[in-house]
Amino acid sequence: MEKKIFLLLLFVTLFELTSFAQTPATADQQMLMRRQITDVSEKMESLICDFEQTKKLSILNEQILSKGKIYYLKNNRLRFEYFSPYSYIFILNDQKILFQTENSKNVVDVKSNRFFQEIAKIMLNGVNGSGLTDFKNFTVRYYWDEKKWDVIFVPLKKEMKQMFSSIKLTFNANDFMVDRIEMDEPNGDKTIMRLTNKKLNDKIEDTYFRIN
Amino acid sequence: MTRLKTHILGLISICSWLAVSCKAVHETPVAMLVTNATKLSKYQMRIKTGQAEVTGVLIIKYIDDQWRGSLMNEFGVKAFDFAISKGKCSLLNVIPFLDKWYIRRTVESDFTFLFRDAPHGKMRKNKQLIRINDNAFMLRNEKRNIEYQFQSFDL
Repeated sequence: MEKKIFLLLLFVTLFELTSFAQTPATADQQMLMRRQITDVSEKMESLICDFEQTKKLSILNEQILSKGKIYYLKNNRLRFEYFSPYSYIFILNDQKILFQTENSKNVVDVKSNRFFQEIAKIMLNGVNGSGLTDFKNFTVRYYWDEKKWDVIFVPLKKEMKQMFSSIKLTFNANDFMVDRIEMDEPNGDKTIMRLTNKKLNDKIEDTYFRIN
Repeated sequence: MTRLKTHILGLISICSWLAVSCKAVHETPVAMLVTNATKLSKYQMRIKTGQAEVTGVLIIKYIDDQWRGSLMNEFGVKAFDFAISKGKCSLLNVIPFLDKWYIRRTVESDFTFLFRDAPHGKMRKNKQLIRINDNAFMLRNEKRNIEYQFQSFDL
């Protein structure tokens, strides 16, 4: 009886592994992925989408869910607006960043802090899908599937390595846009951001990115 | 009749004020911080030191006979974890650019104070906890000129 249960468990595990495993992309597939994604990224004048962020905290064995909206305009303009469970606005406008809560407002210069530079870069790459060939800062791995493509960035630089063990961008293989961003931390924590209701190249007023 | 009404209203006001004051005096930091130990406590946090100010999210839970928590920014980038053991706070998994001995020492000391049984409003070791409203309170470290504000979103 125990042997049967063991075989059944083994079968189920192997079935799950084979059903969801993606295969590393061949050189031709990698080239195609880079071309399609870069093409969409270059034509992206603006993007509006909803997001759902799940933070997995290993020390508490809990997940924190937050939701909001993203606005992106070409030339380094990005607005993250959290609606739930707290209200928070992050605006990147070229070299300035605004952090705003209900009771506070803080503006920093991106150049003043390498941490902000890295964060701004990760966020822009995550939203517009650029940075696929940043081989100077990351080892980049490509995984192919009919429905989705995964690009995994493993940091090479010490500072980034201490913050993230890897950053995974999952692209939709139909529209070549980012569907999911997963950031793994060395201590086992994880942040997953799912992007939905994407509207490409709709008009967005400049006021959305105003930093006073 | 009008004078009696005024007296009654005055008495009610004094009683209400006394009730609130008594509650405040006996309120301890842990009781302020964690209203229900079986649940997660979630706070939007604001730390002010001199001109600089940062915000973040603080999550606390009682697990395996100790208080544990995480402080991260709103995007989920974690600043540090902490655990309270034998009444003392230890910081864990501190993000490299905050991992300096003087930051550790100050934050550990301030967070230790948060989980101690100190009465509300009383100054102890240059630290003071002040209730702002039902969902918010503030810890002030006068020596280091740091203010931590906690606004619950555990609603």
